[in-house]
Amino acid sequence: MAGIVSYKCPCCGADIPYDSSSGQLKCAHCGTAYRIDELEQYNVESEIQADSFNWEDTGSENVEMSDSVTYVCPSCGGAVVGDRNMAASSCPYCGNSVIVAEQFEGMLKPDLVLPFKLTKEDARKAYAEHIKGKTFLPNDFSANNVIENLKGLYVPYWLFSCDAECQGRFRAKRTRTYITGDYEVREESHYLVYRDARAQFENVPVDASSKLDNALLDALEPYDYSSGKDFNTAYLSGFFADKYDQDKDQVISKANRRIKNSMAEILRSSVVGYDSVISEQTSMQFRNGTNKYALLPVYIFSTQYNGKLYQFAMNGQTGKFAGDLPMDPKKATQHSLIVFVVSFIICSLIAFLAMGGLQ
Amino acid sequence: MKKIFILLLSLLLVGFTSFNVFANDVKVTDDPDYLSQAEEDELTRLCNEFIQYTGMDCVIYIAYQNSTDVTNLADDFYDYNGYGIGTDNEGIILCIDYGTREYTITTCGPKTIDTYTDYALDNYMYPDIGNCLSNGDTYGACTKFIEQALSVYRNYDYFHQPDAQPVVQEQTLLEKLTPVFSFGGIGAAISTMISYFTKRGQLRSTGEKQTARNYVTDARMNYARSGDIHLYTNVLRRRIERNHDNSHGGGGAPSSHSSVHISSSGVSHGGGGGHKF
Repeated sequence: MAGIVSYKCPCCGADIPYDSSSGQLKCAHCGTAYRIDELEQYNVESEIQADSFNWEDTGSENVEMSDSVTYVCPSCGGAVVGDRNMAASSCPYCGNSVIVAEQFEGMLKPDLVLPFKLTKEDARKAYAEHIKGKTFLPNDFSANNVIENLKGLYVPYWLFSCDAECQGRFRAKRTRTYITGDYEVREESHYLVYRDARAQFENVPVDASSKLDNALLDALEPYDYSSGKDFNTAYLSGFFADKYDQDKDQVISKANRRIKNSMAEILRSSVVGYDSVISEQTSMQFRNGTNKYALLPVYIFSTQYNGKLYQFAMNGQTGKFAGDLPMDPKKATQHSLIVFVVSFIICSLIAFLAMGGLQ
Repeated sequence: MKKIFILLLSLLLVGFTSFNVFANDVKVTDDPDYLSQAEEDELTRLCNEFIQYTGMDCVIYIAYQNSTDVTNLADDFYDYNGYGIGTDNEGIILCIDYGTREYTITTCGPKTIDTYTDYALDNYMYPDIGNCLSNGDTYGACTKFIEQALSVYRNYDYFHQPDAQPVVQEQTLLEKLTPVFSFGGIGAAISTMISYFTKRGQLRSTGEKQTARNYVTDARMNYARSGDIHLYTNVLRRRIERNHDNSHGGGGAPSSHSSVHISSSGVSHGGGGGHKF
C-alpha cells in the first residue's frame, strides 16, 4: 500500500519495533534483533510483485474527512485515522506500527533524528519519582491516578544555528563612602560602559507542532545532539510521530528572542565592578543562520484529576521529566499553619533569650 | 618643763594645720548692693539652715568686677575668705558677676563635689537661676540656689545613678513580652511564606525558555570595541553629629560624674564654667 511502511520480523513475521536500549529493531515475539540496514536490505530483496485483480474502484484508500486522514493497516486491514500531520502511529486493532512514509519525503524529510534511549517503563518510574515527596499534592492524586495514553512520540523541531554579534551601552555607577575628620564623604562616580561580544549558537530548538504545550516541551531541554542520526523511518517503528505544522518562518521569532536574550546576558555579565548598572541600548546582528528539521524523542502522557487534564512529558534521551501537578488547598493551609505555629514558638524563644528573659 | 614643751608643741601644730571648724560667718556678700538688707538677712538665714542640715558651707557672692573668668573669681573668693566646713573645707558657692553678666556655682571638698554632679548643676540648678537673673531678679536667683542645692542634697540617689543608664520605668508583663511576640510573629510569617512558596514551586516544573544559554559555543568579548568611560563624580559631604558626654552636664540621663578643677590657691573645686544671663 502506497505511503505506508511497516517492518516485519523475518523470522516470525510479527511487528518489529525499534528498541531504544539496544538501538536495533527487536522482535517482541521471538526476540530476534536486526540492525536497521540489515532489515532494510531484507525488505528490498524480499519484495515480490503483488497480485493484481482488476476490481472496480469502490473507494480511495485515503479518505479525507475535514482534517482527518484514514490509512489502512498493512497487517490487519484496519482503519487508522489521524490528522494531516500524523506521520507514525499504531493500529488500534492489532497494535502494529504504522509509518506514513510520504510525511517524510522530499522537503519534509527530517535532517536529524535522536533515537529513543529510554523505555516506557523508565517513563513510569520517572513519573513515580516526580510525584514523590510533594507536600501539597492531593493524597488521592498519587493514590488513584491512572496514566492515560503513555506513548513515545517523536516531536518535530526546528533547530536554529547562527553567529551572533551584539553591541550594548550601559550607564554604571560606583559609590565610595569614607570619613575624614568630622565629615562623612560620599563619592558617586558615573560611567558610560560599552561592550561588543560575539557567540555561536548551535541547534537552538523550537518545537514545530502547534498541538503540544511549549512550556512542557521547553522544560525537557537540553538534548544531546551528538547522538543524532540521519533520518530513517525504522527509528519510528513502535513510536508515534507527527510532521511539523509550523514551518520555520512561523517559529523563528522565538529562536531570535532566545538568542537575543542570551547575548544580552553575555554582555551584562561582562560589566563588573559597579554598584548599579542600567542598560541603555543594545543592537544585535545574526549571520550564517541555518536551520534543520529534527525529530526529538519525548514520552508524553496525561492523567485526569477533578475534571482537569494534567499532561506530563519525559525527554526520551536524557530522562528529564516535567509536568505541573495539582495543589490541595486544604493540605497547603494545614501545612502553613503548622509551620507558622512552630516558627512562632522558635522565634519567640530566640527573642526571649536574646532579651535576657523577663529582666 | 616637759609638760610645758608638749603644750607649746601642740599649740604650734594646731596653728600650722588648716583645721577650720568654723567658717566665715558672712554668707552673703553683695558688692553692687543689688539686695536689700532684709533680703540679705533672709538669704543668710537660709544659708545657715542649709549648713545645719547638710554640714556643708553655703556662700553667695555678688560682684561687679568684669572678671575674665567667673569660675576663678568664685574659687578665689571661697578659698581666700576662709569659707568651708571641716578639714576639707566642704561647701558650695554661687558667684554672680554683673560686670560680665555671668554666673557660676563651684564646690569644694570631696563630699560636696560628689554631691553636686555636673548633671545636677547643668540640668537642675543653672536653668532656673539663669532665668531669674535674666529677669533681673537677683534675690529670686539666690533663693533658688539655696532651695535647689538642698533638693539635690536630699535626692542624692537620683542624681547618682550609674553612668550611661537611663532611668528605667517598670514595665508590665505585656510590655515586656510585646517585642518577643512581635519578633516571633514576623519570623513566623517569613518562615511560612518561604515554606509555602517553596512547596508550591515543587508542583511547577514547566515554563517556556527565554534564553539559549545551553546552546552557546565560543562566546567571546571584542575588547577592541569595549570600554568604560568616566563621565563625572558627585561628592557629598555631611558633618557628623557628635554625641556630647553626659558627664559634663549636657542633658540626657543623670550621671554621677563631677568635673574637677584646681583653683589658683591649689585647692580642688567641682562645678564651674561661666553661664551668661
